[in-house]
Amino acid sequence: MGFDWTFFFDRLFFPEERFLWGLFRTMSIAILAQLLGTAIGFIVGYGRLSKIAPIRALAGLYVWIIRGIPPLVILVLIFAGVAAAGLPRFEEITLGSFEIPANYQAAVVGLGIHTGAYMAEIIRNGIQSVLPGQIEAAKALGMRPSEIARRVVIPQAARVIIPPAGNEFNVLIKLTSLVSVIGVQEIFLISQSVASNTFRVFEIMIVVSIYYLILTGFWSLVQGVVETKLRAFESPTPARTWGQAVKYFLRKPATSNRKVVKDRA
Amino acid sequence: MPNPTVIEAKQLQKWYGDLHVLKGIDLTVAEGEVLCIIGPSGSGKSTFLRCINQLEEYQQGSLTVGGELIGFKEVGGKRVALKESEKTRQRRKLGMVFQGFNLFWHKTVMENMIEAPVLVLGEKEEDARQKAAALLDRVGLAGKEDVFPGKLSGGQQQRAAIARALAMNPEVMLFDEPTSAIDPETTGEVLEVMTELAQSGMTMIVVTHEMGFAKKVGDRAVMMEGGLVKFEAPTSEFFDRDRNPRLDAFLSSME
Repeated sequence: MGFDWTFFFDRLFFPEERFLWGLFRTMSIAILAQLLGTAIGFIVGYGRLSKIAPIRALAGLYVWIIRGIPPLVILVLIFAGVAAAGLPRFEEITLGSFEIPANYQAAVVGLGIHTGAYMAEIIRNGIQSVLPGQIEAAKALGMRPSEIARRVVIPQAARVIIPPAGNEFNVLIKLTSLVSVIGVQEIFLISQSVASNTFRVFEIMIVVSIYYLILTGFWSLVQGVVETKLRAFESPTPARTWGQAVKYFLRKPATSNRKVVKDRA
Repeated sequence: MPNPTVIEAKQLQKWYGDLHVLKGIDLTVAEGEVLCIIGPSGSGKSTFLRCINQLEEYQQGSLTVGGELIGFKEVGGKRVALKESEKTRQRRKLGMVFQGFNLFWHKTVMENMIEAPVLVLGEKEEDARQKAAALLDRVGLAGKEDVFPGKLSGGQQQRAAIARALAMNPEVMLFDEPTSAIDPETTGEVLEVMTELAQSGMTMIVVTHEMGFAKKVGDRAVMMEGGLVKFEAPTSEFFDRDRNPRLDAFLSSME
């Protein structure tokens, strides 16, 4: 057995152009799917808390169905399944000189639908964590319901939402490997094709693992800074700007078990 | 001539499901008057206060602020609940101070102060800040502008909450047991601020267990029990124990 170090380092440090494009697809699919999932999460999450029973039921149904179906099945279903059934299918979109292939769209939508169900639960829990007194105070100050949502409920819920939502995004980065099944040329599919051409499966899979690690690792740092900023109010020296948040995160991240000043209320 | 009536409740009734919490409250508050409401817990005094600024809905009777019916309008002889936007507009005349302060914990004291004036009244941020600084000075919190509420004592938080409500230029201030959640040591500083506010001519309704404050600052006091006003009098008479045995028993229990 030989580990081809030359091949390994070459692929790790000097990736082919198509691999870099794959990297772009992986990250852009993850980000767009997260954005879509967050939008779905807000709609469905608020829907779960609606005063109107049918809306509550529909939102609950969405969460139940989508959480119960593997994302791989969703991807194949919405890409190949609907096309085979003659239903409206994803078509290539051309934006100027930029082409967005049908399978790329299906990847974003499929993963967005999947993660939306989880985001809905995360957002619902975040909204429910806001103390009624905070909303009453805002009402008493004459704020409109939309202003209360935007200025009080969502910012306060964010502190509860961000940590698990960050985990969801971490999972989503890895789940992008599933879209290989509908032929999107992301880093896993490209690595597989390299493997079948070169028979260096072990080396290339370690290379792609390292790339996933770099992506998720970078995201962990971003998440840490965001959490440090969100916990501004409980630190003795609150981070008011993003620059300060980065500095504090590097010194003592909010994700560590530091002593916090207890709310005296 | 007596001052004009600002708040008037007539046979006000409220139910929580089957629970009849307000059983017909008749009360008026004149401009510049300080009305103190006392009574045992569960008597409906907080609920009455919360009906005034529509954190609760009432079902029967009427409640007017400045002559305007609160929460409903008459359409073709029938009473219709107001839309949320109209309720929001009605609330703006009323400042509310809560037992639990309810400062926005994710905002600094200054951000708490200017939030509604900028958003709701459309004040320029610079003007709102200046006004807020003056109000914070008035309640003895100058220098705390950039502090988050969690770092303040209960008394300081409540004073900030009073200042925040005043920043909206309310016509009436409602206090729902403002000192019940505060350490005894800092209760005094909150009561001082309220006393100063009363002397400045603000119309106030204060639900409180602070008999000393009610006696000294209140113009009139009512005792509520079981969803009804049991006793009502100018404070000078109200605290004359011989007049009402039930009141005497309650006041004794408070001591």
